[in-house]
Amino acid sequence: MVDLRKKLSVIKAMPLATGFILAEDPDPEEIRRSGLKLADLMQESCQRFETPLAVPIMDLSLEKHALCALLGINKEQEARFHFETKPNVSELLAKFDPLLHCYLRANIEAIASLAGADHYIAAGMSIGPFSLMTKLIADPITPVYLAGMGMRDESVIVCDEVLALSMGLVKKYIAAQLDAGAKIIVLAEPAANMVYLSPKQIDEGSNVYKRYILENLLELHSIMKAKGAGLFLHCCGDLSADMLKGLAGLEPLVLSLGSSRVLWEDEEYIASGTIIYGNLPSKKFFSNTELTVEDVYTLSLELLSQMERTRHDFILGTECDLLSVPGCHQVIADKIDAMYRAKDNFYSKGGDISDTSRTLTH
Amino acid sequence: MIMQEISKAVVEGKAPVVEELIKRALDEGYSPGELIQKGLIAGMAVVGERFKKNEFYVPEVLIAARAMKAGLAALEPLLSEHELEPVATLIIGTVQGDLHDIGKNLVAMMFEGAGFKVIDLGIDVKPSQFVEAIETYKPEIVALSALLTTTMPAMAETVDTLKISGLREQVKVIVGGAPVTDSYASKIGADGYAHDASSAVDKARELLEID
Repeated sequence: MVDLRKKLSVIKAMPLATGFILAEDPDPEEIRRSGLKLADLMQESCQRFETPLAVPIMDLSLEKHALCALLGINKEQEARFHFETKPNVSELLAKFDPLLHCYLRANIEAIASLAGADHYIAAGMSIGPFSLMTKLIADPITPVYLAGMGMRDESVIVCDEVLALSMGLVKKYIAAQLDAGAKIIVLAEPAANMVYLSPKQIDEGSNVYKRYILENLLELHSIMKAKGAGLFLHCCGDLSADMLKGLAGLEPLVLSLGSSRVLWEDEEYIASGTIIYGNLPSKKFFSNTELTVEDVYTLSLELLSQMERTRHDFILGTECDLLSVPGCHQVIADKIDAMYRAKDNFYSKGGDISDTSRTLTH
Repeated sequence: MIMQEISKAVVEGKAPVVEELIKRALDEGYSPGELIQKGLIAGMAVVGERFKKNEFYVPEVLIAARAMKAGLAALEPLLSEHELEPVATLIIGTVQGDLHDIGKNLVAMMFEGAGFKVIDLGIDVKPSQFVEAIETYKPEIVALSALLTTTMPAMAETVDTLKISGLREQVKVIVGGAPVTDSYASKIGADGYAHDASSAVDKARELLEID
C-alpha cells in the first residue's frame, strides 16, 4: 500500500476521461465488450493524460444492466425497471457471476491484461451499493427518510433488501476485479448526497448516513485492504459537512469530490494519508458560456496553489467522469488542455504563481 | 387552530396525523376546500419557503408531499367541482433520452402543493408526447427537466417542436435541471428557468401573473 501511495502521489493532474476517449471511436460498443480493446483504451488514456493510473470507463449503469440481464429484463425495459416487492437476495446473488456479463467481464479482463505492467496502476471500477440501490427502486428517498424516523413500513423493507442485494452484487464485482489484479478500486457513490439523504435529519441525530452509506463502504474498503488494494472513493454529489467528514473518515487512499466542495477548506477533515482528487467543474466543460477555457485555467491554478498551501497530496482533476457531449467534444478537450497548461505552468515555477502567469498562455 | 395543526403535520411529514386531523376537521364542519387551502396548501407553502432557504432538503419535501397527498386522498371523494378547480394546469416531463426523475418529481409535488393541476408525463418524453399532451390537457405551463448535459439539446428540440406545431404561443415553457441555466433557457426560447423546485412555482406564478 505504501508503494501504491508513492506511485499515486507523483500524479499531479489527470481527468477521469476514459469514457471521453471512448466517444472518439467509431465503434465504442466493440471496445466495451472486449477486454483487450478496453485495456488498450485505458492505456491510451494513460498516455494522453500522462498518468500511470489506468481507469476503466465510469459507466455506472453496468451493474444494473448485469442484474437486469440476470432477471431476464430486456434492454428497452431496463431503465424503467424497479423492484416493487422485496427481491430474493440470496437466490439472485447465488446466480450472479460478473464473468457471465459481457461488459463486466471486459472490465475484469482489461484489468487482468494491465495488472502485470509495471508502468501502469490497474484500477477497477464499481458503483457504490447505495447508488445502485437508488437505481433499483422507484423512490429511494422516502424509505430512507422513513427509516431515519425509526419507521419500518413495506417501502423500508423493500429498500433495505434491495440495498442488501446491491451490496452483494458490488462485493462480487469488486472481488472479481481484485482477483484480476486491480491495485485500486474506483468506487463511485454519487448518491451519498444531500438529495437522497437529509442533512437536517442527520443533524438531528439520525444514524441514517452511517447505516445506509458508511457501513457498506467500510466493509468494501476492508475487502480491498485485505487484498492490498486501495480505495479511490468518488462522490460528486452535494455533500453536507457531516457527510464529507463521514466519507473522509473511511480514510480512502484517494478521495474525489464534486465541484460544490472547497477542497482546501475540506482538507482539514481529510486524513493526511488520503490523496485529495478533484474538483474542476467538468460537468460545465461543454459550455463556453458557463465556463470558458480561461476560467478552467484560472480555476486550475487556484486549486493547485491553494492545495499546495495545505501541503496535502493532491491530484488536479475533474469533478466527475468527463462526458462527451455531441457537438462539444473539442470544446471539452480544449478545457482539459487548459487544465494541463495550468499544471505545467504551476509546477515549472515551483508552485510560485505570479500575477502574470494567471493568464492563459497558448 | 386545527388548520394550523394540519399545516404543521404536513410540514413535519406526518401522513397518518394529517389524515386523522382532516377527518376530525370534517366532523367539526370545515369544508374540504377550506382544509385544502388553509391546511394542506398552507403547509406546503411553508415547506417551499424552507426549501428555498436551505432549511429543508429534498427528503423533507418528499415526506411533506406524501403527507399532503394522504390528506388530499381523504378529501377527494367529498370535493365539489368548484373546489377542485386548480390555479392552473402544468404539464411536466423529463425530456427525451433522460431517465432522471427526482428533480422532476419534486417540481411536480411543489406545483401540486401550490394548487396546480399537474400532468406528469414521466421520463424520456418525446417532443411529440408534449405536443399531444398540450392538445389534450390545454395547460398554461409546460415544464421541461433534464439532468444531463447530453440530454439538454432535447429541451431545445421540444421547444422547436411546439413552435412547428403552432402550440408555442399557447403555453409558457419553463426549464430546469442540474446543468440548465438561465442563459440556456433564453437561448432555446423558453420563457423561464428555475434553479429549484420551489422557485419553479414562483416562476410559473410570475409568468402567469398569478398573485
